[in-house]
Amino acid sequence: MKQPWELDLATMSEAVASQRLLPTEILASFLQRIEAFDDTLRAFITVTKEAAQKSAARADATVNRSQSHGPLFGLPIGHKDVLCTAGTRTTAGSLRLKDWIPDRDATAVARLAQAGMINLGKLNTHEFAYGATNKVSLHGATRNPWDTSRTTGGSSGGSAAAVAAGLLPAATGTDTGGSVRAPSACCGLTGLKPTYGRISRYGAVPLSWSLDHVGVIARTVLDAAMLLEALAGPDPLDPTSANLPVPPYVEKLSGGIEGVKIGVPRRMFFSQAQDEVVDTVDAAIGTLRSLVARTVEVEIPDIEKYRAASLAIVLAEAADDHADKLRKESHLYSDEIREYIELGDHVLAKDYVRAQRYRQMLGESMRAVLNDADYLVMPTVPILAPRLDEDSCQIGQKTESVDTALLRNTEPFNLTGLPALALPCGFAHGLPVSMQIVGRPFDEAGVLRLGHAYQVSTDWHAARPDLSNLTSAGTKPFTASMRTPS
Amino acid sequence: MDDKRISTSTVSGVASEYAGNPIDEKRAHEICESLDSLHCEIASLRELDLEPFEPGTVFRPASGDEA
Repeated sequence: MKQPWELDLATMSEAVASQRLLPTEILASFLQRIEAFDDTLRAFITVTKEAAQKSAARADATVNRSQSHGPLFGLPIGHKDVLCTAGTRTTAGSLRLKDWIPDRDATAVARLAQAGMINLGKLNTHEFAYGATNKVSLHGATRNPWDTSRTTGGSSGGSAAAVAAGLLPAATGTDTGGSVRAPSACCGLTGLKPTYGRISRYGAVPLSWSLDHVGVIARTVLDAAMLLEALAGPDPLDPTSANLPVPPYVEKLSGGIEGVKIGVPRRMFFSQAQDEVVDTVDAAIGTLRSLVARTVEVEIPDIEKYRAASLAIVLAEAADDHADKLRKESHLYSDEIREYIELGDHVLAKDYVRAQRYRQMLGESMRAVLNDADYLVMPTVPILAPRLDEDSCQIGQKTESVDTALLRNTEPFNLTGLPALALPCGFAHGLPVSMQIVGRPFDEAGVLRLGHAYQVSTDWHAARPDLSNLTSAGTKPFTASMRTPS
Repeated sequence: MDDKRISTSTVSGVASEYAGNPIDEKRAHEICESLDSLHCEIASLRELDLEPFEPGTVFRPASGDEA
């Protein structure tokens, strides 16, 4: 018989609804895992054990009285530590916010609480979510449960490590350049970045306001759909949130995908990826081809310029947000993040505006491609999870920075705001490989339906890392360039 | 932008006199080193004909309930 921590959200939900499992039993199972493995993995920054136990006890009473409740009721969730939690510290992985306790919840946190989920804690992140490796954090680097010498990817690396290791069934994340999808890919999980505006950003510590998205990391597409249904929808507190109705995502998973046309953009997305990744994703596309009508190769003009635009926008917008704080408290920033923010002082206004024009051009190019094809499919991350001590990686004959490689296939969809889903599609050298499905604006339902159809036909998402040899004492904390207080 | 184009004194001047975020000479040198490659990459957008495209984030007038 499976332990509660081995179940996905949907199965757990059924067990609670039928009173076969109580919220306190589920919670105890995850707390035991956190105690056993988190000293090594460093997924959590704060474990809200006592508050969670009280909430679970209250939820037990509701279940025992057979009172009606929603599908997420009584189930644990963790939040990336850039999402504000009233009464619980929110550090953003930084020294500057080490002791900051917000007085209100981020909208995403509040909506999952309203759905009855139990917050089990705050999850590790690259400092201010400004990095793709989770190596720079006040709380130490997060380790990948599939190989603890490797990065989880970032910046929602704590969320991914926790879900992959069975310390949580699901978690929230934020995604400015791929920070939900890259860790999901590196850790063999399902990660959804919805359309810009679909989930409120209110209460998320900003990195780059026009690129920031809130998303989810889960074990299955079905679980991601359950979470999105609770999270999505207009929010008067976020002026960029979309005033659109929220479809019943779970119900829509069962729709057929016959006749769907998939676009495969080889340029950059495949041509600048490691061979093992390309082979694995090609095999996954073969599976999709057997489920849908056809695939077609597509081309996105000037796609390679995405990085120039992203750099200009992120550097400028992050500098805008942090400049005053940096001036007053520069000693509370790591060297790496301080340098990024200082670099933002030197982005020309005309280059920022050009980057925003490019963004519009790229969006129109993708609209044209998505008029021909219903979805795009590509590797989520073009490399296997790098070792924590590596700053560069090899792709064919080319050596390049790990940060650039990790975000190459995800960042274009932050620029365009399109919905994108990462899902595990195989392994190479014992490490997870992931494919990304991208859809038209606000077609999360279609993206999830295609991903669900793939997961019904495959079992890559069911694989779990073997943690039997992992002990708290076995691995020293890895710290990169985090500064100590002066 | 093949050649090194940004001097340490420019970086230092922009930081202290313009951005209000003064940095010392060593820091200015480090920023300068990083900026060279970043500026080259960002400036490559100037090769594209982007004039026909409105910027991706556009102004929207604030609307009240009476509108």
